[in-house]
Amino acid sequence: MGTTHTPLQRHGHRLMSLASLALFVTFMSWLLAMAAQVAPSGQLHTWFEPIGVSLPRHQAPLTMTQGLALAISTLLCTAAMMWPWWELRRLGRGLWQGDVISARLARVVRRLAHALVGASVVRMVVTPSVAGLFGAQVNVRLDSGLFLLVTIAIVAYAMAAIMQHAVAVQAENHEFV
Amino acid sequence: MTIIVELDVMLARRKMKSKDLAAAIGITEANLSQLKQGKVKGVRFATLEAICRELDCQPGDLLRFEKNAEQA
Repeated sequence: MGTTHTPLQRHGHRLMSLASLALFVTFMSWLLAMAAQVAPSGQLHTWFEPIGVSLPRHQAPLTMTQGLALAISTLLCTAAMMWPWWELRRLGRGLWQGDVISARLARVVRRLAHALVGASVVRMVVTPSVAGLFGAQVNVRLDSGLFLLVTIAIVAYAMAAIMQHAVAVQAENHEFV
Repeated sequence: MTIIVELDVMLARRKMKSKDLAAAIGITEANLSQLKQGKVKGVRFATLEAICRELDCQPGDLLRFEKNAEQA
């Protein structure tokens, strides 16, 4: 990056790079999970990262229902995990394009908050459901990670509201000559 | 609006064009036009000072308060 870019543009570029990398890693996790499902032996012995479940070793191949449930749940969880990174990439692109105080950027920040909450809810619903289907145990922990996620989502909502207010103030300021 | 802007009257007296005044005081023609029509929410003191300096007038020559019929 050249030295003529503003600090905000540099942050935007870093956000875009980070989000792109995270999207790639998440997509690869989904591919690996899909590969495990189509293993010739039919035995499951892998950590399904997208869903967050470690499934027990099976002696028999998967039934149609189990296979379908696993495929759909993996796809749902992967999409849910990619959603916040996608919105973060949009935020980075907005900053990179010099969008500082605008209604558009406020909407992107609000969507990021929605994505964080949505991703957590999807995983909280899907993970126990899939685990139940296979008789696996899921350890649900209320740890600092969950609180951090909730905090970040609230901060994002607050930031979106602040930006919306700033847009209104800017519009009013433009009416002064 | 109860504050009447009489900038166009002063421009005519000084035989100055809006375009020239806008360039002299550093605002766009569009903003100056909105000011003449009274379609702005307010005027900065810096802008008022610049206009008075260019047109050699007082703020009272540019702005006039008019009571509404309800307030009269």
